[in-house]
Amino acid sequence: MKFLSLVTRIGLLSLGMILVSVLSADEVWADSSDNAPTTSGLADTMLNEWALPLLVLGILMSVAMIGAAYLVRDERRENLLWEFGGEEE
Amino acid sequence: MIEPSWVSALSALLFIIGLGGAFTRKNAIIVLMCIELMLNAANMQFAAAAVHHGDATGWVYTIFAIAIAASEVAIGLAIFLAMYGKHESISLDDVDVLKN
Repeated sequence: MKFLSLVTRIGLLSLGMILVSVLSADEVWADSSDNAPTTSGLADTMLNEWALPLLVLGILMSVAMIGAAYLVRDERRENLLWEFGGEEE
Repeated sequence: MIEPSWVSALSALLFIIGLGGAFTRKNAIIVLMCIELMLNAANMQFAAAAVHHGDATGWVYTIFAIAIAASEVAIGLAIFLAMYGKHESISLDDVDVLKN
């Protein structure tokens, strides 16, 4: 188990070094564009090209929130009584 | 302005820290935080690429990833709450079956 842990740590370290060296290499970032993206360009892209995925994302977030609320529901007796307007005997 | 290559290198470091934490930690909340760290590293990479290429599509990806991460955190924390109610622990070692 310790050997496996050691191999994992060495693997992570080497992966990190490879990632940093590859991603920070100058040739990767050589041909940069002169025009910087603007916020109005972002809004235009989101509301025109990405309108449908944005709608799907909204539905996904709604479903996630409903699911989270369902998962953390509290079914203790006093809460159910309060919710349905009853009184404890 | 900070060079995109530096942002990219920082995002790689953050990703590796997140990956290491997700592999080695047993506390569910810390694992969730490490997953968020990896997602944010990817977001930084998208933002750096958007600035480099002068295209707003990278920012769109970033916004989508942030929204999906928010949904994931909401569901994750709800699952951890339910898990704590059942097992009185959020250690990932204590939860080895998906059946409730």
